[in-house]
Amino acid sequence: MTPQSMTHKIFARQAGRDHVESGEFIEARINMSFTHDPGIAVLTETFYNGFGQDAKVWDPSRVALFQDHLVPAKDPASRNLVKIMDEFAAAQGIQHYFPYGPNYGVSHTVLIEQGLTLPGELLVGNDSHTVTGGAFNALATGVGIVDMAAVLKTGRLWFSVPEVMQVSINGRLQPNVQAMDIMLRLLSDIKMGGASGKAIEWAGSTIDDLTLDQRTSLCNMVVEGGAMNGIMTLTPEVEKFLSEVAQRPYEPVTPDPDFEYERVVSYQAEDIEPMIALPHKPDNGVPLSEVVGKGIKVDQVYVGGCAGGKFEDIKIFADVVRGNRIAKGIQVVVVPATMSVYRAMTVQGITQDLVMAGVNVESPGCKACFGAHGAVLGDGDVCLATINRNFRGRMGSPNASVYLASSMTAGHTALHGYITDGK
Amino acid sequence: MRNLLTGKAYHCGDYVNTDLMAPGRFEPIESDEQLARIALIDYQGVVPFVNEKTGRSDYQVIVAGREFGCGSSRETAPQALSLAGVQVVIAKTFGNIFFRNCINMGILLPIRIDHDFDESVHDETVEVDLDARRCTVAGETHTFKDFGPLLSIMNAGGLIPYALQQGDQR
Ligand code: SF4
Repeated sequence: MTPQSMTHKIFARQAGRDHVESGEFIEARINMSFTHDPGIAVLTETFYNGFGQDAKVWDPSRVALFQDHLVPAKDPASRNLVKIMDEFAAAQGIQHYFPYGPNYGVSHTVLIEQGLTLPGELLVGNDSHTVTGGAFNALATGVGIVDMAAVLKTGRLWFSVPEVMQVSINGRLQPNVQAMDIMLRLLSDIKMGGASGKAIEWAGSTIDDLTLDQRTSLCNMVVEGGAMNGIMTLTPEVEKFLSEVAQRPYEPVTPDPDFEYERVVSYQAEDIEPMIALPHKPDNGVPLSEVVGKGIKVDQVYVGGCAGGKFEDIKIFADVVRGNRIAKGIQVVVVPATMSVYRAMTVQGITQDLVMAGVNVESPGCKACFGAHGAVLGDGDVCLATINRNFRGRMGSPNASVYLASSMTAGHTALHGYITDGK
Repeated sequence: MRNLLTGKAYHCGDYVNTDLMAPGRFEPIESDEQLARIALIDYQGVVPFVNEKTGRSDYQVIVAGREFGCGSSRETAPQALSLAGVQVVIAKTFGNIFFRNCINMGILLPIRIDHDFDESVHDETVEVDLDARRCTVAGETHTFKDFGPLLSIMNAGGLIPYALQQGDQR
């Protein structure tokens, strides 16, 4: 039988087939689906108008709803969306609902924390960064509103089985290199669209050695290369984590050893340097050393989002700023991805260290990562951010400039007020 | 969706994103008329895409480069093109969600082929034969991949009508 990648195996399983081929269209059963606040009005309207006012979702235990983009309500219209979501959740008996409150946060991170992102499963969400789930061996991909309306009713969706490329990294990373650096390097090599419509399967000893949060950052940003999904095999650390949180039994997948990847991109970990993406594209990455020394002043440092606001990202940032003061005249904002990250920071004294250093710790959520509220940029602002995209206008004004870098680089920059590696 | 079609080509380059097709500054959009009028309004092509006088496009086919429809997932993008009169988009590659929207809304036929067309393709005649999986652009014939089960979705008028049709068989 044709050798299969991880992506092929999950699609085959969910399509009730023994194997699938790249390029074919299949219909697959969905294991888990989710949506969030900005799209809820259009989604529920499409759902009820399409399937009838008394339509029911196919399985309320396989739908999750998140309030992450527009909470705490930034204006009356945002608050009204929350109410639509409350009503939908109640009417449909949705079992995994995460409204603003003690357990809310950015969807992708909460799904992982709650054991809802599971190995071998097919996960779809109304958000391009749904791909994050691949770090836990799920086939996770973003879909549109009409897709989601149909999934809510039928639990099924069509897919085009992608070509698969492998990104393989072996060796030991330098201590000042984080997942963000790896990703900015990869994007600068393959460019946006370099993985268009493809799956990226990660391999190599470096990937196996990464912590959970670092793995998550890598898969999160595959969509910046145009990929449909990114996926990794499990490691003992991931399995241990899942044994504590998984909400259902699961069946992981591994690639067949003789599977032929459409393209293989390989790196030696030791060769990867700290990177920075210049405005206004995530594939504008250059080695940080080329930018350090140019005295690029920043108005804001932003540590947050599903790419760079997880516990470990914030801890690394805190390790740099602890005991120091942030530079005068700039604002430094930390937005934990979720309440659970915020609690862990607080219990471990990190919140206190940050606040004493002059950092503003904001409540969790998407906030300025998509430019709607909470430390949004104005004309001429320069920001260094640990988020996944720096498109013009993404964090606010189209006349602002955003640099993307790791949370370690963010720490050094916060202390100096200009972009630096602290050396 | 008609299976045989002849139309005139409008050329688009690489990375034409959904912001250029239906810019957010026009939200909320008041009518189909308005959405048709703003189709590709921010794209600087060989000529404006929409004919000022008619409020529609004189082109039925778009011939584009890489990642046509990349960027945000908005449904108004394929909708605007369709309302302006486009029936087929031929591109080297498509933004993933844009491609899904074309099929799911049953309004545009997205055809993926490798090609070398540049601006000179503009105004040329395009013939598409969906059954034979063949398109002829400026005299050059290309075959494209089978749409398989997606044809039933498009023929049903989109994913929701399709799901309704399938309803009792599940
Ligand atoms: S944190 Fe940023 S990238 Fe992640 S879901 Fe929110 S807006 Fe999107």
